[in-house]
Amino acid sequence: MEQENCLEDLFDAYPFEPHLLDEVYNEDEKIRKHYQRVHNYFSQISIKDFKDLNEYAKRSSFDQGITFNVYSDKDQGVERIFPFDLFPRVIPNREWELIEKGIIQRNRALNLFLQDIYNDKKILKDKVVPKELIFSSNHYCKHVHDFNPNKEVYVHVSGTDLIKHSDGKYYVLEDNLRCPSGVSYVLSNRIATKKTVPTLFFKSNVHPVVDYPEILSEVMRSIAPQGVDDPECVLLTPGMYNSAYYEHSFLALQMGIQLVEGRDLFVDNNFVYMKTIYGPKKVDVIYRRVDDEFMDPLVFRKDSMLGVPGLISAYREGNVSLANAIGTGVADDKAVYTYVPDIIKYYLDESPILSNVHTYRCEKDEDLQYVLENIHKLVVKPVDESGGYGIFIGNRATKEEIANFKEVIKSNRRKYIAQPTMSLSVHSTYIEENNLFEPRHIDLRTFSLTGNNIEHVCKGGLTRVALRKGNLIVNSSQGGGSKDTWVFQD
Amino acid sequence: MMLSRTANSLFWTGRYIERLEHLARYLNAQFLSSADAPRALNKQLALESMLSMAGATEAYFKTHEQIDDEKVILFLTVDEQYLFSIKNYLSLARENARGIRDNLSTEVWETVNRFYHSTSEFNEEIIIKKGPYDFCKHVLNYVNIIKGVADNTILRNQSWSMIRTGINLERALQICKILITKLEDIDKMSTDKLSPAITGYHWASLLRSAGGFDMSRNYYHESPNRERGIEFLILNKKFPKSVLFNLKELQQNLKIISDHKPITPDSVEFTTGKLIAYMNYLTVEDILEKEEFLYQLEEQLLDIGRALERQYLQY
Repeated sequence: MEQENCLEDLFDAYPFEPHLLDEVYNEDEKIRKHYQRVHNYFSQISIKDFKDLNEYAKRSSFDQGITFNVYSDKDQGVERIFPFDLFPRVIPNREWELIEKGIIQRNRALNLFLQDIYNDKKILKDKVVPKELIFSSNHYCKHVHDFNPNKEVYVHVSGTDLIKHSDGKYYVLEDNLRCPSGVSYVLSNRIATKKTVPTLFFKSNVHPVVDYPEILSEVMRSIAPQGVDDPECVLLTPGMYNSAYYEHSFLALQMGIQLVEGRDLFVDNNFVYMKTIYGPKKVDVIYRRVDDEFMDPLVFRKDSMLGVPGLISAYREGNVSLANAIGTGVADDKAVYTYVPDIIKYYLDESPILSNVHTYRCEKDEDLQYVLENIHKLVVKPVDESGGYGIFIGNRATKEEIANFKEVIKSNRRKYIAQPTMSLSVHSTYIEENNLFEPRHIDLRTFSLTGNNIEHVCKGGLTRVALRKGNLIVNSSQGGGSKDTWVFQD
Repeated sequence: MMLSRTANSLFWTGRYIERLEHLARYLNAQFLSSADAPRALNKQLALESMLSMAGATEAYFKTHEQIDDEKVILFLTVDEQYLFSIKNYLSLARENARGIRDNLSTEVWETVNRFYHSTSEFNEEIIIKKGPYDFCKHVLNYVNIIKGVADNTILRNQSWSMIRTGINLERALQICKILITKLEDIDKMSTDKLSPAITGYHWASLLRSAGGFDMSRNYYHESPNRERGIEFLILNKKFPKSVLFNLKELQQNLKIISDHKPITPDSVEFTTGKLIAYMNYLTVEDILEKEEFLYQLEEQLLDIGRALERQYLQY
């Protein structure tokens, strides 16, 4: 009988890239200890079975409607799945403990920072962070001056992006403190793993992620307005044409709360109500997935149909709580990012557990000088864009592009920061076109929750994979995929 | 507790699913039976009848000069420009269902989604090559699966009753529409009006189009005729597609939605109750005597829809 080909054959043909840090293999091309069980298990799967599982996983995402629309597509209605790689990323427990502590430290500091800059502004008066930087930020919101949200929590849901550099250390790439998305992929990837490789999963002692919606629900309840014992919580979505709508409906379903749109809500006498079949019902806590500027046409953009007129006034009266608070975007500005180590020191008197990527601020003269001279080895980013848009990668650009971009930077120095090209770690990933496992760059989006006396980091997160060879940008809108992320309990 | 917008989407999800089911069954039945129609009947009539039942005659002639079998079939099945083709009804049903994901079980949503994607695979080329049969059969199968999955997985609460309300109302309306269309077809054949072979053929085809042929034979133990056909589809209390059966179910669902609140004369509960009371004591002879009966019934059903919208669905 002919021997059936197993994945072992594909692993044997793995094209190592010796100058990159590989999560699965060490520098001697040997399997790292914490990957041994996973690796052995996959080695034994026949190639045919693996392809079937791969098809099954794709089918399953499609059926679940875990699809998103890409804005730049000519055809608006095109649905794509977010490709899911069956080979999981594993994080050993000791590394995870560091990540978790580092994220909680960062959340605490950023929360105190937001509280301060919207009230006493001590950190600005003490000149630790320049006040021009804050006041010139597009996300600095004058409408929440001298106002404290219920229980003084600002960032209830935070999505911190981490990478592992070739030095083996984790770095924070950016903080996402507005409406970070992606947690539904964490949960659905885990479900897919359990279905496709059940025996492996149940033998490996992996921390669960399934408790996330429950803890988010507790966070919402914990920040209810004064005197409300049994708060009515809702999730506010921009609507079904938003690219993250699947996630909104998924979370609402998991938490058993109403999924509302702006047009379902109205404000009367500074209280918020939703329109139900029996008339108005008061709403106490809103987990909003609508950006600040669309929240209330009376205060922000007048043309917004997504928000609720009068909402900010009800919020300032303390009659409704918002998660996240208004104005948190000022703290995930990429220029403010460079000050986070100072912010941690200032409020907590601790040194940062997770490092920042060294960042040059183009508005500083000596930094600008450095950036202009060394642009070929830097990544330049606009400070206020998300989703990987507007990023300039120096070593990929032509001479002409570089010359043009230098002018762009000089014309708006506040808008740009630059970082050395970080060497993101790579991970063995199944590449369908080649029927091979190949190294691909990855990062890690973590999800953490903060409420009144609640601090939680989802034990896992979304490992994003840049599926195109050599590509460093992992965002789903830029052709990325994802992996289930396992944190071992022991 | 239910948002008015949610109620609106639940109601229309039910209506669109029901509507496309009837449309698919009607097309199928007309297409198949036109093949073995007696001498006097031609394809033309079957095609006109399809357009008329779908309420699409006017829209069709806006973009087409004359009746052509391929064009009519494409228009009503997979035409993406025409808003009321089966394919577009399915998109509408799915968009509504997507908006109420949190009220549906995962199983129902995934089935709706699979239905949508698998139906997208049917294009003009396939329909022209194979005729509408495969397509309609596919649609009917999926509708049955969705209804079965929904029946087995959704909580029997107000959301469920709202979906059912949409289904009940739409089904009563569609049955009414099928009867009106077929009676007009029969009238068009005035010269052959008295021939029992022709009317027998017509009534059998009518009952098939409404999905009631087998059960009416089972009930009457006789071949269908005008009296039996009308009585079965309008007044039968045990056939789940008859108008009266659906009105009664609708009434029960409204009770759940209104949470048994007292009924006021301007409410949808009142409008529905009044129509049921009238129909409870109606005989098939009364119906046959009144030429305009079906048109009135259609209007009364639409009134129920309007009252429901006013009362529950505005947001």
